[in-house]
Amino acid sequence: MARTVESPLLCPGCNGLNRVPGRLAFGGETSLSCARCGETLQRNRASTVERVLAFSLAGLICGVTANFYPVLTFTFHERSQSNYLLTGPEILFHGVYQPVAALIVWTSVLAPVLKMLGLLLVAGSLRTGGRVPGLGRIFKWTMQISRWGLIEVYAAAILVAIAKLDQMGASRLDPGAWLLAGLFVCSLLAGWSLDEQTFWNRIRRQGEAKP
Amino acid sequence: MNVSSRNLILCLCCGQTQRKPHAGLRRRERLVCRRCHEPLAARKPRSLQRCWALVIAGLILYLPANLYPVMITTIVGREAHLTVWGGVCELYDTGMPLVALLVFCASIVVPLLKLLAMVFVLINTSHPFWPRKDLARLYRIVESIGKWSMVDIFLLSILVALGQLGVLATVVPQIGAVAFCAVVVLTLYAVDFYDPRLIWDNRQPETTP
Repeated sequence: MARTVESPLLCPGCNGLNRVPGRLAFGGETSLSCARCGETLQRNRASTVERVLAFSLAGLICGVTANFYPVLTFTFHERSQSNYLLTGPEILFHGVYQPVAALIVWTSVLAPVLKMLGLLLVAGSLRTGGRVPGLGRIFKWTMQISRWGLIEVYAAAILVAIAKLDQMGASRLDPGAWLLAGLFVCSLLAGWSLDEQTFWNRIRRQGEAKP
Repeated sequence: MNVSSRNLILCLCCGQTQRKPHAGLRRRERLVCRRCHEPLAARKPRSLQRCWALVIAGLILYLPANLYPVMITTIVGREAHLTVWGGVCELYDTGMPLVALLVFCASIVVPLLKLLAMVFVLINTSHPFWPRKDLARLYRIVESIGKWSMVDIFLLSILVALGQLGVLATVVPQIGAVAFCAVVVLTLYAVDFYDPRLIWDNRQPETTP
């Protein structure tokens, strides 16, 4: 699939002017980068709306269900304790540690799920043509929230926790961890398949169309 | 038709390049993007002031974040006050040098490097002495590694949840965790408020190869 690019383009990284001769069609999974600083200007993704729709739906299912299953179980002297995503924040949620708990909930539970929900809503609306009020606003907030989702960092923390606990007792990964992995993969793939320019153009066209 | 970066403006929300209007704005008027209708600005507002303020606050809080313990662990009556550095040492001592290295990089090196790199970039913005292409690259690296400092906070969350085995093992959070969180959030916002286009402003035009 090819898409035309409106020339000229300003670079968000250096404000350099990039001239694309006339209107350039670039096809496949390609991207344009700034001639001066190397920042990515635009990228083209085949059937971006459909792919984002699929990955965000799968990611949303993983992300929501991950909260209902334990992530890690630790057995110590025949007593075991399971860790759900929200157990830690719940214990931390008093006194001076409230902001810490809030930050953990925001970056490991809310932001990743809201990102998937936002993408699902926008891609779904673009795919089906169903009109959602304030679609552009929703897409903008989704893009801003997506930077706060830190599932991959949480995964690293799980590994460190296992390494730390292994000398004392037995720790075991539970379904929650695999659902988190699913959410992470879906989120990554949705991000890779996302062609923001096409999304914005279609959001605008949908907004202008007569109901 | 004369098109230069001077009479064009970029929407940072949706990435649409567009023409600036010729006439100046009247009172209570503002520029909005023609595609996404978000307000337009040539540069992020008060970028340098905001970034400096957050970086200085981050540098100040970096001290308590590393000097105070993040948690107290009690395992079979043995109590340990763990600072970030203490946690790294403990991992290293128990024969896990790779995991220790991971935590060391994520929790100690990344925040400090990020703060120092931002100071370097900020000084260079107003008194340029480093090649701007390298500066832009440095900023992009800082932007991408910042999130990894959250490892320690997530680790605290997991250990606190697992440390509920009564008398055998308990994990109690300490004030260092709050300072550490503050450093992470402040530096994330500092990087966000900085406008990398300032690196390229007010300099001699580079000869293109």
